[in-house]
Amino acid sequence: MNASTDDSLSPRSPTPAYVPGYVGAKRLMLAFGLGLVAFGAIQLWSPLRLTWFGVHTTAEAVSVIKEKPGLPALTLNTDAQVLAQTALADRNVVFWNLFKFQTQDGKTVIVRAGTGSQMKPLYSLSSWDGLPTSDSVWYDPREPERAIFPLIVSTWLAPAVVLFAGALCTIIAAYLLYWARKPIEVPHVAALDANS
Amino acid sequence: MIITCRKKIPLRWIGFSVLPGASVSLNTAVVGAAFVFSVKKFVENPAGVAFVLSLPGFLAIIFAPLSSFLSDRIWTRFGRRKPFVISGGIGMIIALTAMPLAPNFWLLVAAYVLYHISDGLSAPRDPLQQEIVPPSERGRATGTLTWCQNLAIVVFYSVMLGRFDDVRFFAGFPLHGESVIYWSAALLLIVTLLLVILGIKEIDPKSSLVGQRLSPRGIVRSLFDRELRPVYLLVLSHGLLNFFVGFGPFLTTLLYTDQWNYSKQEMGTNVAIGGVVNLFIIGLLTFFADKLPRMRALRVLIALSLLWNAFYFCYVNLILPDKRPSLVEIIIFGEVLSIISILVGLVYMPLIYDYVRRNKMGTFAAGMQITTRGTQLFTLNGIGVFVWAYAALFQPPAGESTRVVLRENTDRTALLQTLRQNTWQYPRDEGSAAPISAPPSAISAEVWQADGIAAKQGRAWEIRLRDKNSEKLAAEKIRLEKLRSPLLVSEKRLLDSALVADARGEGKAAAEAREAAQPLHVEAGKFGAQIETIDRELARRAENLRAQITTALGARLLSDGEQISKAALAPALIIEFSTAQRANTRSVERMLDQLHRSIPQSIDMRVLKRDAGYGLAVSVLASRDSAENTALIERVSAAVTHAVEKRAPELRGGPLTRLSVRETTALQLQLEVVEQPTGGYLSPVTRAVNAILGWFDHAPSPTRNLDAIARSLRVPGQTTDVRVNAPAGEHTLSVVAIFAESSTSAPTAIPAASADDIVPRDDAITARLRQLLGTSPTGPAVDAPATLRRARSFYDRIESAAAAQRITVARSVLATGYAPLKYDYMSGYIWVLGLGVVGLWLTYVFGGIEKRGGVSKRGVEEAAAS
Repeated sequence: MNASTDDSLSPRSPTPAYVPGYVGAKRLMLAFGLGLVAFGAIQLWSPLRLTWFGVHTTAEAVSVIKEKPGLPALTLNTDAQVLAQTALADRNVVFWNLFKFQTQDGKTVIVRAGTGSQMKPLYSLSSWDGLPTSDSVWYDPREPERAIFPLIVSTWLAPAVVLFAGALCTIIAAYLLYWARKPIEVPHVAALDANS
Repeated sequence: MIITCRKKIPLRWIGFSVLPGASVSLNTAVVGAAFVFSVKKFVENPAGVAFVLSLPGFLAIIFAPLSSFLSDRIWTRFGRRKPFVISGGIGMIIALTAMPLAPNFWLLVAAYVLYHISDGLSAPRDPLQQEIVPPSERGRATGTLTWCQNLAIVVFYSVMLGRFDDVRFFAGFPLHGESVIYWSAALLLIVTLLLVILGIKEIDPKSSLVGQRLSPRGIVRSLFDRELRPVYLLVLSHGLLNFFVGFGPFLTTLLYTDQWNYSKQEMGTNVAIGGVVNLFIIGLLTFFADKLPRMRALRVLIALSLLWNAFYFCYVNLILPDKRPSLVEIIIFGEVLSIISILVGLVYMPLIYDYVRRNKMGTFAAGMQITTRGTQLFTLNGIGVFVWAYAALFQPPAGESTRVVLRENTDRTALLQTLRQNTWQYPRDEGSAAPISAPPSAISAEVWQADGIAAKQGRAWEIRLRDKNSEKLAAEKIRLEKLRSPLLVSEKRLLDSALVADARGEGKAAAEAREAAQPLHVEAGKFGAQIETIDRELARRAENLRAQITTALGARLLSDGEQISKAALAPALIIEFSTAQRANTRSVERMLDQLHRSIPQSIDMRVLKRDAGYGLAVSVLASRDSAENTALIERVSAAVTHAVEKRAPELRGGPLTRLSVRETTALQLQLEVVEQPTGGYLSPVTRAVNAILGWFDHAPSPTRNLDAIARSLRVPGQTTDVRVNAPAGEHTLSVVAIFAESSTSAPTAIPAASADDIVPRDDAITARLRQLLGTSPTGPAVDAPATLRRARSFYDRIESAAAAQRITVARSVLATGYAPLKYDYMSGYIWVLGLGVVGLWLTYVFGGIEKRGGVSKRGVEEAAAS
């Protein structure tokens, strides 16, 4: 259905009504919004599941992997080595932190943080007191290599944005769809002379 | 569904109508802040970055006014504003999507230009919003829009911008933080654009302007017709005041980072805290936005903001001894100003549109954009000139500079008198003809303290010789650096691609890349050589001035080594305890603070990594009497147990177990410093904030800068335990340190840990240490030269650690070099205060015109009549 200014609804009324229409397009918009919501939720589900049902412990940074397309990965085991590699300020490089933690049954697991960083590692290897840098980790007890670091904002950022945009789109589309077939009173607008 | 020209609209329409504007706020933040980092991927040269960032200013003068003006003069089946908003929005989406994918500088700039042209095209978004919302509800709409804009800015600066360099896998593909930032903005724009396309219907206002013939003369006449002309006075007034509130982003950044030495992160924290507070305040103020008498409220608010800024200026310059507000003060003063400016915004926007009828909203928006841009150009350039002129008249001049420390306190007049009695010569190029005498007025002296306290008396002085010749040389160096920077960047890119080609076995490509890099290397090398020559020359000239000053002041200068008033070795104990888990940094700090109060001779507490689990190691100064030491160990054990119970009970898995007690040697040093390390001035605001924080046990410790020095002196494997003290009211720093042990350490020497910590130097400071350590009455005899070298090396580390906390260990000459003209960015407040007064006066001029009937609320009259 297309938009129309429907005078026939009240032929003698001085205030004509407008029926918005465009039901098909609005349905498509709703589907787009729902699609975004679903996609965002799927991306969020994996970290959320681990945060809710996984086991929490503290992991210690053990090393940093430096990756650059075309070159072999380089393992850096001290902050001095990291410093030497970050001095170049190369944006084609990605640094990934490796963390070590102990599971409830005493097994030591080494995992790579799900988020890397281009200019320098997200975490230095040791803190000011000389101890390994630590971060909270949630892992799957059946498969401890599946672990997430919820305090790293990028874990959530992209899925949350998609979910938010989807929710906003869905709300707007649902509202527009609701009013699509309902007539809206159009105000009287007298011809206005800009020079008066 | 939303339609325009209604006399009354439901609340939800206001919410929907502001969404496009709110979405654009996020885009503006993205293209403003994140784009700087995107450009820096390709260009290091600041001049190049500045040029690219200046493009929007030029584009905005053309496209935004043009589209707004045209939107009053067309009518299509889609409306008159929507075609511009939609086409502009599509262009912005394309540009935002393309920016993170741009493979080179020129495509990035093309996307940036497309974005700003499209942004200009979509400018009729504002008139469209004003046509949807009737005059009586525009205050609320402006409040809602401000709230959404604020939310977008807070989220962007506190969450998104910091993720620019992150990389993560998303749906199986690597996704860069840069892309997340740009594409998030694009996605929200798509959603709000769909709202505009499908959800907003423009009603034909049957304007007689439609089809009007366009000519340059006609455009100018329309922009400045007699109905709109007086309203521009209000726009001008707001333009002056708006700048006044914002102080100009460039100058604000310089004031925070260059003058007050805050980091960008601290600036971001300030923005984020202010933004979060504003979210609540705007929500509250929006309720009252339509209840205020707009013109009267505007005048009162302008006057309030003027007064508040004048108060802030006086507070910083007259009350704070270092003329540097704390972050808390910046937030408090800034927040009050922010509330006033929000209120001004809530009143101003609806007020000006009260005077404009619907069919002239686009024309008025065009005129408003031109007026606002023109005002910005004037105010921003004006403040730059003003700050420069103020510096040239009242600030220390550019030229050679030397910072010296005197034996006694002296005042400025007396020192200048002494200095100006001498003959001074301009240091000139080696081999130049006869030396040129400098007039006595070319010499200036100011008390210098690293904490910025502007005292009238002091021991440390910065003495400068105004030297135009050196100023020109320094300017030449900056010019050469600008030329060299892009060459270095291009060379590095080529060499990197050569490395990648090597790894792929593409030898020919690698050779070509290296060959292409070679001329760049040669060219950059030429500039580098010229820069080095200038550096050497400037350093030589500064050294010449230092020699002249040293001769002029003679015995009044402190001798090197004199600043070490005590150096001794003392016996110490390290007592280790086991804990159930690893103590966090904050717990350790709090336990240590408690331990310092209960055991005055305690040195440090640190977390211990054991084979299985964690522990705490506590160090204390001991005596030679073993019975006394046994009692001390018991007292320390009890104090640590108490501290753990009170501050970190989670560390106790059961009774706290003492693992071992070790004897070692501690080094004690007492040094004279320029500043007063503790007990400094606390401003009224800081005292009030500390009193409030004290209720929650969070008041900052007055010795936190000393704790920070101790923290940075602790180096794993070298200096394990450190305590830094400063007697209240004295210019002295007292440091106790225990060095990491090795099996080769002699029991009466400071244990040697690593060779790189030993820097053999034989100067006045080493001689003084040798003298003091060799005759130490309390400590064991020094039996290893390594001990002396380690003490000397540790002294150097204390100097740099203290400097990081703005505490300067005294020495005869602290620094020598070329010093540029020093700017006081806060002086810009004088300029903007003047502009604020003009802004206030303009509102009264407008009021007079309105009284005489020269302008009336056409917009309100029209809405009432429809």
